[in-house]
Amino acid sequence: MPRNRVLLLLFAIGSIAAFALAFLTLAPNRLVSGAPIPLSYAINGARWLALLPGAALLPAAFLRRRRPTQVYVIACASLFLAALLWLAGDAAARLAAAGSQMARISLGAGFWLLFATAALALSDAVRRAFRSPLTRIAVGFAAALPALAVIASGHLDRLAIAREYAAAHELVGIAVVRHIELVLGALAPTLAIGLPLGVLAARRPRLRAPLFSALNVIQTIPSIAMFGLLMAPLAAIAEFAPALPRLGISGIGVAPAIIALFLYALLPIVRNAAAGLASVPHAVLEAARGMGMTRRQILWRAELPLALPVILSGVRITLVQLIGLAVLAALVGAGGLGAIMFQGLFADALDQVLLGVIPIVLMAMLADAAMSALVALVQQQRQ
Amino acid sequence: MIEFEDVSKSFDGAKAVDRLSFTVAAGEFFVLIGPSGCGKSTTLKMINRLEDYTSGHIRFAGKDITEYPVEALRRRIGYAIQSVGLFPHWTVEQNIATVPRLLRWPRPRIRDRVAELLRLLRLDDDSRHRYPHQLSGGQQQRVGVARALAADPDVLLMDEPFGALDPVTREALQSEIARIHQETKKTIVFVTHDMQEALRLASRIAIMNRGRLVQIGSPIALVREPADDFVRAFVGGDDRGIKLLSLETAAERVRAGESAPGPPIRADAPLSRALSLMIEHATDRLPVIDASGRPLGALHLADFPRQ
Repeated sequence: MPRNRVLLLLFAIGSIAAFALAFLTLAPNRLVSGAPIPLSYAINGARWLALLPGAALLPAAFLRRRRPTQVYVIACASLFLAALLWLAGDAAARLAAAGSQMARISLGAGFWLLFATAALALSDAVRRAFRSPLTRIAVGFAAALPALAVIASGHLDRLAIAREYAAAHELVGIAVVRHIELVLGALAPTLAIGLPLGVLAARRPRLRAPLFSALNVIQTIPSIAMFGLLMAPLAAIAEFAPALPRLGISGIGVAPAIIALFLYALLPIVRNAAAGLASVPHAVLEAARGMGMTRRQILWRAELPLALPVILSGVRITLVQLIGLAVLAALVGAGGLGAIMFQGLFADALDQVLLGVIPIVLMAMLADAAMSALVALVQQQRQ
Repeated sequence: MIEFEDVSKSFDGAKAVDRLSFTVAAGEFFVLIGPSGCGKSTTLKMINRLEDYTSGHIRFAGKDITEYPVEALRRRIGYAIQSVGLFPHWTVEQNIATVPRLLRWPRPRIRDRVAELLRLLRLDDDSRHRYPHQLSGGQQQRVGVARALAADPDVLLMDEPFGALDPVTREALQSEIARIHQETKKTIVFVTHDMQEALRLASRIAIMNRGRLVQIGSPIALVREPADDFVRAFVGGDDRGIKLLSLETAAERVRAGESAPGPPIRADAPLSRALSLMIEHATDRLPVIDASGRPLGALHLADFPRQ
């Protein structure tokens, strides 16, 4: 009987992907779509040994779910991720040596599925083996080291995505910075306005219903429509006040992007602030009042600190949501990683799309992990 | 110390508290008791203005309570409640220091005061760095009482403070609060619905029913001369004789110099315990000793029914 069905399922998906889908694709140039290169090409000779850490995951599905088993899974998956990258880089180098300089060698669906299943097995094992988010982050980072080492070694240089990066790494750097600016630029006003609104919603039940309906309506506006809707009024305002465009406020660019992101981010912040304040035990508030604390003292010394874990969870959700949404900011000319992604989409260059997408995914994962750790730290103090 | 003059509170036309008048003298242990919903908690919370009243006057230390800034009034009145309400994100020390910090006491004075209160409530000095959830229910309420006493308030208000504790812990804390009352001579206003607790602790008891004061007096007076059937039932109905015995001590009936066989009883033990011992050991007399174990005389069952 399998004891870990998740792992077994992942293994099955990975195996099918390994043999049925293209590991790499090879195109003579950037314009035509590629021909599949199967995994068998990548593992010829003694290279099949690189699949061993992946195969070693199978028995773990039948072992007792204890920490040693999970650590074994973490080790195998970690090595397997590195091995997959190495195989891809190695195969790309051999293909490139045989073909023309113009040939584009891209990572295929088989590679991505194998990589994704191994990464899922890894994160599942880390989650099961360790409780504290700080340990989880440390272990996750350690497990990523072999893969990072392969990437850093330059072994993947013949892959199209690496060449795209080499050609555009300055642009990617600028886009990452702009992306972070957009996210933080939207988060700051969201916190400055959302937290007081949350306090207000918790204090005035009569205000709560209309406030949340309004915020919910904003959430239902499709994001692309929202960016578009903001362009017209902002352009009109800029028309009336010529000083504004010089400050960067106009119908296109950063201003509509940040306003739209801010509007979307409000709901989770306000909702969690209100929920956090509502969760403060009544007895604490009664005792605080009875001891002669003023309303302001009660808010700052008791209510907000006690609501902090819930508020921070709201910030975590918002941050991840903003990192994803900020992609669309590129459509109103605000730049960011979305710009690279859309450029790739319109040019039908999948590798360039990935150049935009991978940093977004990493950013979202890092933000999520960091905020989870922060929430855990705040809670740990009281437990 | 506290004066109620014709105080009423109406709730949608119904009277939650109806024309209450009484005075709590300095140093008294004043217990408000009655069935749930009788208005005793509301009455208590009027004193520190957690509840409003519709008419009448309440005076604290000679001045109408509405003449004090509300926070200043509350900082002069200790407050302990059944659910304790410790701040979960603060250590025991920080919790106890709440009001002194609000009053901006210097740090060394706060530290000394916390140490003093930990001793008074018989809490370990190590516990000052613990968080509330690391303490048992009884310890939490000890911290709650310490916090209420922290700024040396003139008056201590306690709203069913031991109601949520198990019987053994409750009894221990009752002894504790009785001792603290003796040592500090604080004025205590105490709400409970437990008559046993009231008889044990109170110097005076006010019985309330449906927002009104039914009878007010010393524990013995209430048990001996209940004003009506409600009070009679509330102070113990058929068990009133036993209740009376629980209010007198062996010292009050001892025949000095006599001796008796059987298990000795301490002079400060209630007569109800003496009766229980006699029944248990099938005897009608007991030797009485003082706190240091010296024999004082004998207690005779025949002397119990004396008025």
